[in-house]
Amino acid sequence: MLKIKKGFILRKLGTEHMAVAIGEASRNFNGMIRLNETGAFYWKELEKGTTKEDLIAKTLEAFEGVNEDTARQDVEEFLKTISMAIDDDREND
Amino acid sequence: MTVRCEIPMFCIKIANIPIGIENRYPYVRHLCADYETDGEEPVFTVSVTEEEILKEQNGEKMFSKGYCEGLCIYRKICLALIKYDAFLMHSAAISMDDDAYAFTAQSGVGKTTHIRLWKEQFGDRVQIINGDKPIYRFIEGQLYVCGTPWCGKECLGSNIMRPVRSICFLKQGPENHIRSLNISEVSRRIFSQVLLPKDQENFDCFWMLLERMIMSEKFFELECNRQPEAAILAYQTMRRREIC
Repeated sequence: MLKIKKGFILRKLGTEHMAVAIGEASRNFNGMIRLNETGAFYWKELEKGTTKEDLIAKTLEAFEGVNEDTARQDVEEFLKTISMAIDDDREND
Repeated sequence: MTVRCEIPMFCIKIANIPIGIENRYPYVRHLCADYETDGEEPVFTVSVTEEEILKEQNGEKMFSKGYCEGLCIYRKICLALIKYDAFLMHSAAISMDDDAYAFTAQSGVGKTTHIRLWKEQFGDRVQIINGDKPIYRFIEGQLYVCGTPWCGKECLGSNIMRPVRSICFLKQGPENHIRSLNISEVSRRIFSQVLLPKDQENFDCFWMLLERMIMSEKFFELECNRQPEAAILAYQTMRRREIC
Protein backbone atom coordinates (compact mmCIF):
# COMPACT_ATOMS: atom_id res chain seq x y z
CA MET A 1 0.00 0.00 0.00
CA LEU A 2 1.33 3.41 -0.97
CA LYS A 3 0.32 6.47 0.99
CA ILE A 4 1.38 10.09 1.28
CA LYS A 5 3.46 10.54 4.43
CA LYS A 6 2.00 12.44 7.34
CA GLY A 7 2.93 16.11 7.14
CA PHE A 8 2.98 16.38 3.35
CA ILE A 9 0.17 18.56 2.09
CA LEU A 10 -1.08 19.48 -1.35
CA ARG A 11 -2.16 23.06 -1.96
CA LYS A 12 -3.12 25.19 -4.90
CA LEU A 13 -1.57 28.61 -5.28
CA GLY A 14 -3.20 30.56 -8.07
CA THR A 15 -3.20 28.00 -10.83
CA GLU A 16 -0.31 25.89 -9.56
CA HIS A 17 -0.48 22.69 -7.53
CA MET A 18 2.25 22.49 -4.93
CA ALA A 19 3.09 20.03 -2.20
CA VAL A 20 5.06 20.98 0.88
CA ALA A 21 6.00 19.42 4.20
CA ILE A 22 4.93 20.77 7.57
CA GLY A 23 5.51 19.63 11.15
CA GLU A 24 7.88 16.71 11.69
CA ALA A 25 8.07 15.97 7.97
CA SER A 26 9.58 19.40 7.32
CA ARG A 27 12.74 18.39 9.20
CA ASN A 28 13.66 16.09 6.37
CA PHE A 29 12.11 17.90 3.47
CA ASN A 30 12.29 21.64 3.20
CA GLY A 31 11.38 22.24 -0.42
CA MET A 32 8.31 22.30 -2.59
CA ILE A 33 7.07 19.78 -5.11
CA ARG A 34 5.36 21.29 -8.12
CA LEU A 35 2.67 19.15 -9.68
CA ASN A 36 0.73 19.36 -12.90
CA GLU A 37 -2.94 18.33 -13.11
CA THR A 38 -2.07 14.64 -13.53
CA GLY A 39 0.41 14.83 -10.66
CA ALA A 40 -2.24 16.40 -8.42
CA PHE A 41 -4.64 13.63 -9.41
CA TYR A 42 -2.09 10.94 -8.49
CA TRP A 43 -1.32 12.76 -5.23
CA LYS A 44 -4.98 12.84 -4.18
CA GLU A 45 -5.28 9.10 -4.84
CA LEU A 46 -2.13 8.54 -2.78
CA GLU A 47 -3.56 10.58 0.07
CA LYS A 48 -6.36 8.05 0.31
CA GLY A 49 -3.89 5.18 0.00
CA THR A 50 -3.51 3.09 -3.12
CA THR A 51 -1.25 0.64 -4.93
CA LYS A 52 0.76 1.10 -8.07
CA GLU A 53 -1.58 -1.17 -10.03
CA ASP A 54 -4.59 0.72 -8.74
CA LEU A 55 -3.06 3.99 -9.76
CA ILE A 56 -2.42 2.70 -13.26
CA ALA A 57 -5.98 1.44 -13.53
CA LYS A 58 -7.34 4.78 -12.34
CA THR A 59 -5.18 6.60 -14.86
CA LEU A 60 -6.61 4.50 -17.68
CA GLU A 61 -10.09 5.27 -16.39
CA ALA A 62 -9.56 9.00 -15.97
CA PHE A 63 -7.57 9.85 -19.06
CA GLU A 64 -9.08 8.69 -22.31
CA GLY A 65 -6.79 7.43 -25.04
CA VAL A 66 -3.87 6.53 -22.76
CA ASN A 67 -2.52 3.01 -23.22
CA GLU A 68 -1.39 0.84 -20.36
CA ASP A 69 2.33 1.09 -21.10
CA THR A 70 2.27 4.86 -21.08
CA ALA A 71 0.19 4.93 -17.90
CA ARG A 72 2.58 2.50 -16.19
CA GLN A 73 5.60 4.51 -17.21
CA ASP A 74 3.96 7.74 -16.09
CA VAL A 75 2.93 6.36 -12.70
CA GLU A 76 6.34 4.81 -12.05
CA GLU A 77 8.11 8.01 -12.93
CA PHE A 78 5.80 10.01 -10.71
CA LEU A 79 6.26 7.66 -7.74
CA LYS A 80 10.01 7.95 -8.13
CA THR A 81 9.88 11.74 -8.24
CA ILE A 82 7.86 12.05 -5.05
CA SER A 83 9.39 9.07 -3.23
CA MET A 84 10.36 11.30 -0.30
CA ALA A 85 6.68 11.93 0.36
CA ILE A 86 5.48 8.33 0.20
CA ASP A 87 5.13 5.66 2.85
CA ASP A 88 5.52 2.28 1.25
CA ASP A 89 3.92 -0.39 3.39
CA ARG A 90 4.17 -3.49 1.27
CA GLU A 91 2.94 -5.89 3.94
CA ASN A 92 -0.57 -4.66 3.35
CA ASP A 93 -0.30 -4.92 -0.41
CA MET B 1 6.83 33.15 46.03
CA THR B 2 7.03 33.26 42.31
CA VAL B 3 10.48 33.65 40.90
CA ARG B 4 10.17 35.73 37.77
CA CYS B 5 12.95 35.21 35.24
CA GLU B 6 15.37 38.07 34.92
CA ILE B 7 15.00 38.46 31.20
CA PRO B 8 14.28 42.12 30.45
CA MET B 9 11.42 43.02 28.16
CA PHE B 10 10.66 45.85 25.82
CA CYS B 11 7.99 46.57 23.26
CA ILE B 12 8.31 47.44 19.59
CA LYS B 13 5.80 48.23 16.89
CA ILE B 14 6.02 46.66 13.46
CA ALA B 15 3.28 47.02 10.85
CA ASN B 16 1.30 48.89 13.50
CA ILE B 17 1.32 45.83 15.76
CA PRO B 18 2.82 46.14 19.27
CA ILE B 19 5.13 43.20 19.98
CA GLY B 20 6.89 42.32 23.23
CA ILE B 21 10.49 41.08 23.09
CA GLU B 22 12.26 39.32 25.93
CA ASN B 23 15.91 39.50 25.03
CA ARG B 24 18.97 37.90 26.60
CA TYR B 25 21.59 40.01 24.85
CA PRO B 26 21.64 43.79 24.43
CA TYR B 27 22.15 43.67 20.63
CA VAL B 28 18.46 43.21 19.83
CA ARG B 29 17.38 46.21 21.83
CA HIS B 30 19.93 48.44 20.07
CA LEU B 31 18.77 47.08 16.73
CA CYS B 32 15.16 47.86 17.58
CA ALA B 33 15.77 51.37 18.96
CA ASP B 34 13.77 53.15 16.22
CA TYR B 35 10.80 50.82 16.69
CA GLU B 36 10.39 50.90 20.46
CA THR B 37 7.04 51.96 21.78
CA ASP B 38 5.86 52.81 25.29
CA GLY B 39 2.61 52.27 27.06
CA GLU B 40 1.11 49.85 24.60
CA GLU B 41 0.08 46.34 25.48
CA PRO B 42 1.91 43.87 23.21
CA VAL B 43 -0.43 41.57 21.29
CA PHE B 44 2.16 38.82 21.69
CA THR B 45 5.62 38.43 23.18
CA VAL B 46 8.56 36.49 21.80
CA SER B 47 11.65 35.12 23.47
CA VAL B 48 14.25 32.57 22.53
CA THR B 49 16.21 30.07 24.56
CA GLU B 50 19.97 29.90 24.82
CA GLU B 51 19.68 26.58 23.01
CA GLU B 52 17.93 28.15 20.06
CA ILE B 53 20.59 30.83 19.87
CA LEU B 54 23.38 28.24 19.81
CA LYS B 55 21.55 26.30 17.14
CA GLU B 56 21.26 29.46 15.05
CA GLN B 57 24.97 30.14 15.56
CA ASN B 58 25.62 26.64 14.27
CA GLY B 59 29.07 26.34 15.80
CA GLU B 60 30.36 29.38 13.95
CA LYS B 61 31.74 32.15 16.09
CA MET B 62 31.57 34.55 13.19
CA PHE B 63 28.18 35.80 14.36
CA SER B 64 27.69 36.98 17.91
CA LYS B 65 25.06 35.40 20.13
CA GLY B 66 23.25 38.71 20.21
CA TYR B 67 23.03 38.78 16.42
CA CYS B 68 21.83 35.18 16.33
CA GLU B 69 19.28 35.92 19.02
CA GLY B 70 18.01 38.73 16.80
CA LEU B 71 17.54 36.34 13.87
CA CYS B 72 15.66 33.82 16.03
CA ILE B 73 13.46 36.54 17.47
CA TYR B 74 12.63 37.94 14.05
CA ARG B 75 11.70 34.53 12.69
CA LYS B 76 9.33 34.03 15.62
CA ILE B 77 7.86 37.48 15.15
CA CYS B 78 7.25 36.86 11.45
CA LEU B 79 5.49 33.57 12.11
CA ALA B 80 3.37 35.07 14.90
CA LEU B 81 2.38 38.02 12.67
CA ILE B 82 0.58 35.73 10.24
CA LYS B 83 -2.47 35.75 12.54
CA TYR B 84 -2.59 39.52 12.01
CA ASP B 85 -2.60 39.27 8.21
CA ALA B 86 1.10 40.10 8.08
CA PHE B 87 4.05 38.12 6.76
CA LEU B 88 7.69 38.34 5.75
CA MET B 89 8.77 38.42 2.13
CA HIS B 90 12.43 38.49 1.23
CA SER B 91 12.56 41.68 -0.82
CA ALA B 92 13.71 45.28 -0.99
CA ALA B 93 10.96 47.86 -0.72
CA ILE B 94 11.04 51.57 -1.36
CA SER B 95 8.59 54.40 -1.08
CA MET B 96 8.32 56.76 -4.04
CA ASP B 97 5.86 59.65 -3.76
CA ASP B 98 4.29 57.74 -0.84
CA ASP B 99 3.57 54.53 -2.74
CA ALA B 100 5.62 51.38 -2.24
CA TYR B 101 7.50 49.47 -4.92
CA ALA B 102 8.89 46.08 -3.96
CA PHE B 103 11.67 44.07 -5.57
CA THR B 104 12.26 40.46 -4.87
CA ALA B 105 14.99 38.04 -5.92
CA GLN B 106 17.39 35.55 -4.43
CA SER B 107 20.30 37.04 -2.50
CA GLY B 108 23.04 38.29 -4.78
CA VAL B 109 20.88 39.20 -7.77
CA GLY B 110 21.06 42.91 -6.99
CA LYS B 111 18.02 44.10 -5.05
CA THR B 112 20.11 46.59 -3.10
CA THR B 113 21.91 47.78 -6.22
CA HIS B 114 18.58 48.34 -7.93
CA ILE B 115 16.95 50.33 -5.13
CA ARG B 116 20.10 52.45 -4.93
CA LEU B 117 19.58 53.27 -8.60
CA TRP B 118 16.12 54.59 -7.75
CA LYS B 119 17.59 56.68 -4.96
CA GLU B 120 20.24 58.10 -7.29
CA GLN B 121 17.73 58.75 -10.03
CA PHE B 122 14.83 60.18 -8.06
CA GLY B 123 16.56 61.59 -4.98
CA ASP B 124 14.38 62.64 -2.07
CA ARG B 125 11.20 61.35 -3.65
CA VAL B 126 12.54 57.90 -2.72
CA GLN B 127 12.78 56.51 0.77
CA ILE B 128 14.00 53.00 1.47
CA ILE B 129 11.44 51.10 3.55
CA ASN B 130 13.52 47.98 4.01
CA GLY B 131 16.45 46.60 2.04
CA ASP B 132 15.96 42.92 2.74
CA LYS B 133 13.25 41.65 5.06
CA PRO B 134 10.15 43.86 5.17
CA ILE B 135 6.79 42.81 6.53
CA TYR B 136 3.74 42.90 4.28
CA ARG B 137 0.36 43.40 5.85
CA PHE B 138 -3.20 43.53 4.57
CA ILE B 139 -5.19 46.29 6.24
CA GLU B 140 -8.79 46.74 5.11
CA GLY B 141 -8.11 45.13 1.77
CA GLN B 142 -4.97 47.11 0.99
CA LEU B 143 -1.51 45.52 1.08
CA TYR B 144 1.09 47.60 2.89
CA VAL B 145 4.82 47.09 3.14
CA CYS B 146 6.30 47.99 6.49
CA GLY B 147 9.73 48.83 7.82
CA THR B 148 11.31 46.56 10.43
CA PRO B 149 14.53 46.70 12.47
CA TRP B 150 15.82 43.74 10.46
CA CYS B 151 16.83 45.10 7.09
CA GLY B 152 19.84 43.25 5.76
CA LYS B 153 23.57 43.65 6.05
CA GLU B 154 23.53 47.18 4.61
CA CYS B 155 20.99 48.27 7.26
CA LEU B 156 18.84 50.14 4.76
CA GLY B 157 15.43 50.92 6.09
CA SER B 158 13.08 53.23 7.90
CA ASN B 159 10.16 52.95 10.25
CA ILE B 160 7.39 53.69 7.78
CA MET B 161 4.62 51.78 6.02
CA ARG B 162 3.27 52.44 2.54
CA PRO B 163 0.59 50.94 0.29
CA VAL B 164 2.05 48.57 -2.29
CA ARG B 165 1.78 49.81 -5.88
CA SER B 166 3.40 46.75 -7.46
CA ILE B 167 5.91 43.98 -6.92
CA CYS B 168 8.76 43.06 -9.23
CA PHE B 169 10.96 40.00 -9.58
CA LEU B 170 14.50 41.00 -10.51
CA LYS B 171 16.80 39.25 -12.91
CA GLN B 172 20.24 40.32 -14.08
CA GLY B 173 20.61 40.98 -17.77
CA PRO B 174 22.68 42.95 -20.25
CA GLU B 175 19.73 45.11 -21.22
CA ASN B 176 16.69 46.48 -19.45
CA HIS B 177 13.41 44.78 -20.13
CA ILE B 178 10.23 44.58 -18.09
CA ARG B 179 7.06 42.53 -18.53
CA SER B 180 4.05 41.74 -16.39
CA LEU B 181 3.70 38.25 -14.94
CA ASN B 182 0.58 36.14 -14.92
CA ILE B 183 -0.70 34.35 -11.83
CA SER B 184 0.91 31.06 -12.67
CA GLU B 185 4.32 32.69 -13.22
CA VAL B 186 4.02 34.51 -9.91
CA SER B 187 2.97 31.36 -8.02
CA ARG B 188 6.07 29.54 -9.19
CA ARG B 189 8.45 32.36 -8.32
CA ILE B 190 7.07 33.64 -5.02
CA PHE B 191 7.52 30.46 -3.07
CA SER B 192 11.25 30.72 -2.43
CA GLN B 193 10.93 34.32 -1.19
CA VAL B 194 8.71 33.65 1.81
CA LEU B 195 9.06 32.03 5.21
CA LEU B 196 6.77 29.02 5.45
CA PRO B 197 5.19 28.18 8.80
CA LYS B 198 5.61 24.60 9.85
CA ASP B 199 2.41 24.07 11.78
CA GLN B 200 -0.85 23.33 10.02
CA GLU B 201 -2.98 26.18 11.39
CA ASN B 202 -0.45 28.89 10.72
CA PHE B 203 0.38 27.33 7.38
CA ASP B 204 -3.23 27.52 6.23
CA CYS B 205 -3.50 31.17 7.32
CA PHE B 206 -0.28 31.98 5.54
CA TRP B 207 -1.33 30.24 2.37
CA MET B 208 -4.50 32.34 2.24
CA LEU B 209 -2.45 35.52 2.59
CA LEU B 210 -0.10 34.41 -0.16
CA GLU B 211 -2.99 33.61 -2.44
CA ARG B 212 -4.64 36.93 -1.63
CA MET B 213 -1.45 38.79 -2.49
CA ILE B 214 -1.03 36.95 -5.77
CA MET B 215 -4.60 37.63 -6.78
CA SER B 216 -4.73 41.29 -5.73
CA GLU B 217 -1.32 42.71 -6.63
CA LYS B 218 0.39 43.54 -9.91
CA PHE B 219 3.58 41.62 -10.55
CA PHE B 220 6.39 42.22 -13.01
CA GLU B 221 9.68 40.71 -14.00
CA LEU B 222 12.50 43.14 -14.63
CA GLU B 223 15.61 42.02 -16.39
CA CYS B 224 18.07 44.80 -15.75
CA ASN B 225 21.61 46.10 -15.68
CA ARG B 226 23.10 48.69 -13.33
CA GLN B 227 22.37 51.73 -15.45
CA PRO B 228 19.97 54.46 -14.29
CA GLU B 229 17.65 53.53 -17.19
CA ALA B 230 16.76 50.37 -15.24
CA ALA B 231 15.15 52.46 -12.48
CA ILE B 232 13.38 54.73 -14.95
CA LEU B 233 11.91 51.81 -16.90
CA ALA B 234 10.84 50.07 -13.68
CA TYR B 235 9.18 53.20 -12.31
CA GLN B 236 7.38 54.10 -15.52
CA THR B 237 5.96 50.59 -15.83
CA MET B 238 5.31 49.73 -12.20
CA ARG B 239 3.48 52.94 -11.38
CA ARG B 240 0.71 52.38 -13.94
CA ARG B 241 -2.65 51.66 -12.39
CA GLU B 242 -3.69 49.38 -15.21
CA ILE B 243 -1.57 46.99 -17.19
CA CYS B 244 -1.71 47.91 -20.86
